Amino acid sequence: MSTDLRGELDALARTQTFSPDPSAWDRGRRARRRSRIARGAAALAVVAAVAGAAALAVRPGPVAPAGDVVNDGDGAIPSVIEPTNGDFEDDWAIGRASVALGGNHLVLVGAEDGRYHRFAVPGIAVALSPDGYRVAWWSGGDATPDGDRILIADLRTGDILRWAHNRGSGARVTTLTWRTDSTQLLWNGRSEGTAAAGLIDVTGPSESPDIEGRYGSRGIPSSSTEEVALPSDGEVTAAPFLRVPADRGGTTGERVDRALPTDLYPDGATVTPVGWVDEDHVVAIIDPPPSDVVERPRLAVFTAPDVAESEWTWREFLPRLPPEATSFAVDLIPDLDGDPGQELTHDFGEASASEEGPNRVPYVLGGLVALLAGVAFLRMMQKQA
Amino acid sequence: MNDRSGFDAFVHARGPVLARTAYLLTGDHHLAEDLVQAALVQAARHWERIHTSPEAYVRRAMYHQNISWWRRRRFTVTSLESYDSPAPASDPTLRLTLEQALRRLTPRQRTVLVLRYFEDLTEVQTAAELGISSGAVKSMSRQALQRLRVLAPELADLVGADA
Repeated sequence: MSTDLRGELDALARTQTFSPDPSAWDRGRRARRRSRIARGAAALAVVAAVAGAAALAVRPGPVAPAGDVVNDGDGAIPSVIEPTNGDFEDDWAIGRASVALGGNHLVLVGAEDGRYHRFAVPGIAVALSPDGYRVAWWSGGDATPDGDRILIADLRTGDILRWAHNRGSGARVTTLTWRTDSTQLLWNGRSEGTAAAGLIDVTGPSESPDIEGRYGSRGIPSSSTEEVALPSDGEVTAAPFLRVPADRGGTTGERVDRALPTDLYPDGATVTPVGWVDEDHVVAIIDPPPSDVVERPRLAVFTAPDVAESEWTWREFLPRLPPEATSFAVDLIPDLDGDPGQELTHDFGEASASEEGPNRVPYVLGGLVALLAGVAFLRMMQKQA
Repeated sequence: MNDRSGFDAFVHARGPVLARTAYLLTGDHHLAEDLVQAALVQAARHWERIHTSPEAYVRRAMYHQNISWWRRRRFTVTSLESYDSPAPASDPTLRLTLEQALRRLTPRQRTVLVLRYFEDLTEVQTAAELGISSGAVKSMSRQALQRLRVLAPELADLVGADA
């Protein structure tokens, strides 16, 4: 079907001619200049906001912070993910990240401060390692400046590994999946019309080709590799898993299901695993069909099917996920203590606003510097006028 | 190569291919030309940032711009009454029938169809391009093919008997 349809679409498309508009470049550059002026005006508004924040900082602060950072000192997954526009960054050494967002560009959320970092690379098959220290993506193919490569950025050093996958011959990558130890990256895709896969060890680096077909599954194995959490094929009423006995070397397995709670998802949901918190708990994006009450997918942690059904638990802990948020540093989720009220994410906004004491000094200094910058900008605008 | 000459070289090399995709997205030759030009103006505006990989940027700009344009003009395009009725089968060729049927899909459905069956992207890649979930891509793709079958039953061989 698709071959015939593609042929007909191609023939249709070829009826379109193209006449380049020589003014496109000049129009684009004019728009750029206009937007710069608008940004200057916006900067003034920011200066006013910073000055306001500085004024707030010198006032007595609230008594207690809004919440402790879970995994004290290591960072946390934010309680709200709302990507915003901003400038692109060049330096990948941003430290540990908690969330990676794909789409038009790659966006990373800092694990310790919740800041958004935007990078001008294609957000294709983006995968953040479970420990949050590496992020991988596919270049997009031969026509891109990097060529057909899988790129892996080390967020501690800022180094980028440009790996010529499929033993150098490349392949169209559909998914990238980190193993739980954050050192092995599985790619799945297609090469010359057939399915292809390989396991990259980033510490070598080296690549194991998919000779035995053992990497064909796009699931995420647990640390013991005895269970594999699989993505569902559309909406399902039970999350699919593969149970792999240790003596089979990971090549075959028995399909087992883990029922979804029907009270939460009466019409089922699409299940996309993103990692394992521990040997018994999986984190997955749960995407129920749209309805009056369901707007966006959410993140949930739940027990794997090998746990006795009487001990099964299910907890949604990050609702309203934007569709671009597809990869999470699951090691940042704290060890589960069985308390249904346990904080699994952190509200960076409230926590940072409630800091007090000596930490006010940077706010005040920042506010003064921003004010001076604003005055300088105003004088420059007056001179230009 | 300076910025301007790099931009011109890109437009010269990739413009015709982009225009073909734009035509499938819009179903109209003039709109397709406008869509490509609007995306190229955007590319020129951000050239410093995207000059290493401009095509991906331009393509995404086209996908999103087309849907955005449709939102503004949809109330004048077609009535609901004609939305589901079969396309006239008087055209002598299958291609013309397909062209007419494509025009009557929603831009989102048409965009998903173009990305999946013309650009050969997977569901995951299509979802990444459009910034939606792969479940939504699958659902829209199925709806698009179903609607094509309703609008033009003679396309059954082309789009499959059932999704």
